[in-house]
Amino acid sequence: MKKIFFLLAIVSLTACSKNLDLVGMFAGQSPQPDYRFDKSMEHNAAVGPRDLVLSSDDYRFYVGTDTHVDEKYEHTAQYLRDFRQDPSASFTLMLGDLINAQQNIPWVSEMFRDSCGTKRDRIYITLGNHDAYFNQWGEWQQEWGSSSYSFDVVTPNAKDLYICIESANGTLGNKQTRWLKELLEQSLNKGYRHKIIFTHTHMFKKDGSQGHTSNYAMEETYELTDLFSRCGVDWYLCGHDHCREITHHKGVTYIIVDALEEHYNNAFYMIADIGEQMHYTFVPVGEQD
Amino acid sequence: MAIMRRIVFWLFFVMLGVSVAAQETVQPTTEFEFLTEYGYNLTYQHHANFDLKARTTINRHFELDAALQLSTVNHYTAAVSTRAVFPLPVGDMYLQNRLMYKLLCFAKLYDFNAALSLGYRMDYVNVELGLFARVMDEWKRPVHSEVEPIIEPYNILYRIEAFVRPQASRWNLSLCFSNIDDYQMERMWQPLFMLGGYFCPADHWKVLAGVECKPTGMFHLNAQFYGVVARVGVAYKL
Repeated sequence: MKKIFFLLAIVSLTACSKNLDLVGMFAGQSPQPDYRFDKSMEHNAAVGPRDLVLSSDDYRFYVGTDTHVDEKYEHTAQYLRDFRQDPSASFTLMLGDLINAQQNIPWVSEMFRDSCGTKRDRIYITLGNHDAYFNQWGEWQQEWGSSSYSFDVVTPNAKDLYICIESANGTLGNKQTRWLKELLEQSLNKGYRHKIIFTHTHMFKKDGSQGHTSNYAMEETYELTDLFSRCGVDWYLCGHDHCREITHHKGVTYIIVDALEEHYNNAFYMIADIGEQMHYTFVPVGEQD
Repeated sequence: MAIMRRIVFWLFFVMLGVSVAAQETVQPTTEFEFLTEYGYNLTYQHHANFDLKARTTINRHFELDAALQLSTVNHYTAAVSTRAVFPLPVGDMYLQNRLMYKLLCFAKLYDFNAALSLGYRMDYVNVELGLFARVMDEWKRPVHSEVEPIIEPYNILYRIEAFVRPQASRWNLSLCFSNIDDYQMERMWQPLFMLGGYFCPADHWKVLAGVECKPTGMFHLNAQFYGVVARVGVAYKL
């Protein structure tokens, strides 16, 4: 009787919304971060390094996040069009929450690649919590392969390190944390010009806009911020909050990028211009308040 | 920082005022607790904590707690908590403030929290709701630095605790759902689940034990285990 009641409760909770995985509030339905990390590492080993070699020391990349694509996706389409048509844009970082509803991952992933045209292999993406709802990790991995990886951008006179960490469960988990520490500590002797971390979850909770979004546990906040500062990380790029926030803490700039979600009246994306100095600008998309 | 200082000053003032105004007096009592904790979480892995706490009932209307925690992961926490108690026909209502200072030596960082909450306690239940603010900063930030401390001004504090027996019993068990405990204040979307109990084997003495579980990602709707703490200790009432 109890089992039946439990099953009924789960089924009714799941049926409540095709967008919100309410069962996930008690137990995430996708495999846990350590498992996803293992699978990501297997994929990384199979495909080899993702490094980009560019012909100029100064280059540009685009950052978009929280597209939450459902049926309409004009904001996302404009973002991808701008990226494709900008000749100086070398690649794009997508910071998670690609989709909103179930069964969207395959066609949205294809739409992303098609929209980028010849730059279809220049999309660097991380997993958001919405992407992992309803046990969608399998679909996501089939489309994008890995949610934890790093790559170098190699220019004639410099080398920049980019690390994608996966925080869809509000934690990096055990194995990914160890990997990140090792990677960043090793990076100290490799002469990187800049180091950029990108992921989904924001680090701090400084204003009311974060009322609906959760963070890392405090222990993880202390540990990660210290690691980033010790290892000379320049930027920590993330989304999740949907609302821009720029925080400087112990030498690291933490940037929350606005959401690109449709029906969102303050949609922006970010353009980063990297040279000896690092600059960012935010570009409005669609109607603004 | 000026705002924080003002808040702390007013909290202190209010508590002091309530204490002085208390008409009904009882013999002050103090209880000392010493607990050792084993903890495991995804960030620190295995670690241990040592807790020392003093609870003083100054009179029927005023209670004061002070707590100190030393951790093997090289952080140290000091907390002071004051409660103005307003007895009601059934149960007590209380106004509580907490000040917590965490020194994270490994990160050369401090984390200061100030909280104000309103609670209601009966024999079998204790509920509390309030707000707290957090300030995090590095130890030696240059005075003229353009960088500002991390201020998280609006966090909700909640605590719902149920007991299997009246709270003054010789032994008791409790189940608690909260985002705070004596040594941490988590953001509102990061709840803690606690199971605790005590037994009094002799006058003045109590044996304490408890387990605290911290999941993560509950409000990412991708919940998973993050950490657990098991604690045992003794308390002595003067």
